[in-house]
Amino acid sequence: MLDTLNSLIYGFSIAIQPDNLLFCFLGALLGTLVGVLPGIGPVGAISILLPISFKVSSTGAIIMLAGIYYGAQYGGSTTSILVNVPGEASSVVTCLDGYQMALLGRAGPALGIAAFGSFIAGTIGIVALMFFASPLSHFALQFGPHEYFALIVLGLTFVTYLSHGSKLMAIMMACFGLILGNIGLDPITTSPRLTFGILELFDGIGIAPVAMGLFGIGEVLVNFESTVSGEIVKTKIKNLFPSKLDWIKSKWALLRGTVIGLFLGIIPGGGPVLSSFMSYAVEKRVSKEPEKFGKGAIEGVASPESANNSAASTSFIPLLTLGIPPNPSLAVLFGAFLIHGITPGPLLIQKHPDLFWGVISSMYIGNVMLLVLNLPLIPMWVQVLKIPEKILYPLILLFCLIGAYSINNDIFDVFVMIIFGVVGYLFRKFEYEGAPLVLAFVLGPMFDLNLRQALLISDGSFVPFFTRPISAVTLIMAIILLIISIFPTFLGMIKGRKTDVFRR
Amino acid sequence: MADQLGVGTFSSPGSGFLFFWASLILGSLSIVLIIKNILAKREAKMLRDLWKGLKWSNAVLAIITLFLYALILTKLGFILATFVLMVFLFGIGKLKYWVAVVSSFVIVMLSYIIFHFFLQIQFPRGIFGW
Repeated sequence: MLDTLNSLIYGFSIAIQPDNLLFCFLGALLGTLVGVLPGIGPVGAISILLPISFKVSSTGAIIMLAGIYYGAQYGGSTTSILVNVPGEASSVVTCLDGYQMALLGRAGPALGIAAFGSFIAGTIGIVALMFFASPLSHFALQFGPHEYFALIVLGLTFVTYLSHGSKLMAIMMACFGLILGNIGLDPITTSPRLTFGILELFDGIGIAPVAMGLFGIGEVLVNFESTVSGEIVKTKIKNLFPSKLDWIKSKWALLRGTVIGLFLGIIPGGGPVLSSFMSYAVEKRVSKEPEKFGKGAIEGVASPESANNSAASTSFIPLLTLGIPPNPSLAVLFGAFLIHGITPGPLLIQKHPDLFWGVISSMYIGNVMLLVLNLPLIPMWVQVLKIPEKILYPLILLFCLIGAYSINNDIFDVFVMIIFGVVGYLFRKFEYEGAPLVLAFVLGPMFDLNLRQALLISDGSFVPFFTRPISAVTLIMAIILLIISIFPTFLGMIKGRKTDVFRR
Repeated sequence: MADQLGVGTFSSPGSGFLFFWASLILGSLSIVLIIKNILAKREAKMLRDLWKGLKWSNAVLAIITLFLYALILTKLGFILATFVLMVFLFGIGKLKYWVAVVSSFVIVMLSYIIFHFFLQIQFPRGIFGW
């Protein structure tokens, strides 16, 4: 306890250095911006800024990129409430009651409770991150290839299980991601794999062009052809501070949302999106007036907004302690660590205490900054929403192009990004989700290495995967999830259920 | 292809081990998906329905513009190529001609100042040397 507090003080001494404060502010600001703007999310934003972050210190870069991730959770609620278009996937559920509140002339309290809920839950999440990360890192030192392989499988299974569309297609995407992620030199034999003699592919495909293409270019292309745009509620935003009655109504929702987010954030494959949906469902179930949900209940805003923020904080736990990114945004952040020559994992706290504690402390500061950015500056974000799409989308494309080029000052990365942009556009059309692909892409090399090492150790036997306790429990969970995911598909096939060919 | 890399055995997995098994699952699931769609009997959506009522030509034009930009970037240099790109992209959005040209000029200059001078990114200079 005392050690943790001492480390936190050390972390604050790093986080309050002027340049780190500036990066923290930039991260919070950009995070809110991408959260507010539909069409670009934290994955795209972190990818775009990834190459630019080479120019700054590793601590400053991670502070800024992390700020974008948790900042986006704050900003996402603004568009959900005012436009009924979620800025982020984790704010989808906020639309249900947030927009209804705005229509009833209560946009102010909706935005207020979203911001306060986010702040309280986000801060509690950081406290949990701070106290759990260190013991978990010590525990993770005992992990071998079997355990790592099992955890990666669980993470990938969770992401496919949580995909909105067909689970079968999500599994296919994960397999595709594993293949793409392993292009390049084999870490064991050093022989080139699927490089087709192209020199640039010997180092593998970079995460930044892939993520920028799938989530930046792909998203913009879909929006380019759209004929409709969201309409901002024409209401005067007043009373941003929720009333006493609002607080009484939402206090338990806020607490329940926070707790749900804390736990679901830690699970590989979980995170803000799952937590927001789960907390809304729980809140509706425990409510004495469930019929009010969807018609402007403040609990329907407080709960998911606190859940997604506490989950955003705790989802750093698997990344920082195990080196396993639990969702696509943190997968890109994982790439940022590697680019800066730092491997997230059990040894991170020992080897880079400045970075670890600096980033955690900056998250406290970032949360305060976000509260300030999201309450008094709401009118400014509303103005941002009014930027015409015909100006905004070309700008996003330009940032993606600059970002991709600046990775290696090589046009090859630009081509890779554009190709993945087209692929991302088609994925959206055919309802294939990009999230399992990106996560599998990042985890692919670890998956391959740990699987092969584990098989070499056990002389080809799969038994140790089920005799080592952590690996066994994790794999059994993954297998159960996998069965739950694909069983309905096969059942549907057997029954010959009529389904839409593009909505399987 | 995975076979050429060497799939190996379970006791000694080769370079192509993961590729082989991932491709096998991918292929098998593709077959399942095809069968599923055949069994679904067609009250299905047609391919063209995915683009129905949308300005799909905007997306196609944007893709072509992006590829052309990547092709000319090193030849024309950042400033000129990006200016042309932005005019085209704004044109797709039906921005007024003069607004598109002025906005493109301003954006190119600002991005050059920010990314080249402040963030020290080395952009291609092209045949004109700027």
